[in-house]
Amino acid sequence: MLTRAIRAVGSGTISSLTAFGGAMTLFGRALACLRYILKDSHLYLRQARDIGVASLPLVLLIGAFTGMVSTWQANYSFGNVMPLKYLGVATFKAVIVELGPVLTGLVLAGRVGSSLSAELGTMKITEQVDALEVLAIDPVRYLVAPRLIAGLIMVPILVILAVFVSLWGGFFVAYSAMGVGFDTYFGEIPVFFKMKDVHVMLVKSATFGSIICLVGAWVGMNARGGAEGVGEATIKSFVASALLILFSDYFIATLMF
Amino acid sequence: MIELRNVAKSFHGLPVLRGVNLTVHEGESVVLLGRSGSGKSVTLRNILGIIKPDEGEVFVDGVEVSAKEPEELYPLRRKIGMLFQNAALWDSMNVYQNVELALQHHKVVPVRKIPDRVRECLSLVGLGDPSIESRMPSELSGGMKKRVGLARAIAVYPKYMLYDEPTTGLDPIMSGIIDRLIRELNTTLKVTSLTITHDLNSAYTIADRIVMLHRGEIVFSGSVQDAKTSDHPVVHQFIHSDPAGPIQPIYTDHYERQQAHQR
Repeated sequence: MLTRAIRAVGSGTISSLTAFGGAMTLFGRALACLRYILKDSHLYLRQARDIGVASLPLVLLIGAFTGMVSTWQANYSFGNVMPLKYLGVATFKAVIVELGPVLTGLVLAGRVGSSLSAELGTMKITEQVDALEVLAIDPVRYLVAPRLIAGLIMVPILVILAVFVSLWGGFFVAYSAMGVGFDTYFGEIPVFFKMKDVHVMLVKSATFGSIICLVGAWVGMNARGGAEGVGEATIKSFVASALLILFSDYFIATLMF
Repeated sequence: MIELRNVAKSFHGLPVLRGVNLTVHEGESVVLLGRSGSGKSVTLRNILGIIKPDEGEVFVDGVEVSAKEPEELYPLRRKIGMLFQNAALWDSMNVYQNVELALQHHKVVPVRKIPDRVRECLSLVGLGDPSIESRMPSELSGGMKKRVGLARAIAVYPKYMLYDEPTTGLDPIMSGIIDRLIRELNTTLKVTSLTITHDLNSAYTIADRIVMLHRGEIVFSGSVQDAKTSDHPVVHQFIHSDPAGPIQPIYTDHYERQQAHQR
């Protein structure tokens, strides 16, 4: 029993380290492909559209509800001790450094990461990736690098938009349910605004974007079996991305605060 | 020239290739026969460098494929065309884009001549109708996909062509067209060809030489006529589709195994 448990932990550790090494190698190879970015600009733009523009409605919806809920929560938790003029600041602080990047990251892990692993997994299983290799077209340059860079750039943009919308969502609740005016809600935000908040948001969202696309690409490129393999890859990609987002969120918070 | 020297490959401890020695000379058309699971596709993948042999060496055009990293193989792969068993068309691209991609990527022909080359290749495989160019792979029949796959492979003027089951799933007329095309590429353009197939009619049409792979080993190499008249038990059984012989059926489930046992 004990031997089996030790063996399971050992093999799990080895496979996790192998996966980490493989993903990092893929990351390095994708970065090396940046020298072709101008030549392959159409690929990068297409991925930016697929990852960024296509995810926009969902991200804005998530952002709006996050802001609305945050404002209710702030009022519920601190309403007795905090003047209403700080509602906007409370929402802003909660959303910009934590809820905006993390919730957007988790949603995109499902929306972008899973579809990426399913797409690349299907291509791998149906030999489409092999077909690229055989025609001397580097799949990392053609498939992985554009997705990774698009994720790295578009996720921070999506997070900025989500934070912006969440503030307005919060204002909507504050105005309609609590009678807080525009100047009252937004007036204190400049006072408590720190550039560091923006830095933390950008570092987190760029990290989450890289994680989502790297994990999705790596899992997809290593998919095996038939349709079942693609399904497994999709689940694996989401679970791994979500866990890594939460781990890295803690790690970044520890480093930057 | 394609050369495999004593190539061995196992998966999960099960040997698939056991010391395969095979040479395909310049301009030759070799057909590799063997039942499913005999190691034919693994042989092709070793030649392409998609997988590495556990032992032995693979040379293509004087380059040791088995000793190179994937990125180092790209210059060589520009000389190789491959028709995949299931065509492996890129399903996010239409027919035209599938054939165009490698031409555009490698600048095989001047940019303004790419459309002509794409249409020429599609016409060669019997898909000259312009309305087909804009169709997505999901809108094509299995045979059409295979023909687009062939057009894509030949578009880049390969020196070597590898065919994985080129006529499987095609009707007899289309099989004949594909066979003739493979033969023409070989005879007129001197494209060195290695084909794996189960289709004996196809093999007889396109082969200069037939090689038989059985349980990961080459058991026969000779002309079409030699294969037809061979008294090697494996070759004889395969060529004459004889249920009795050294090639044992693979049972797919317990029920089939039981039925066979009762028989």
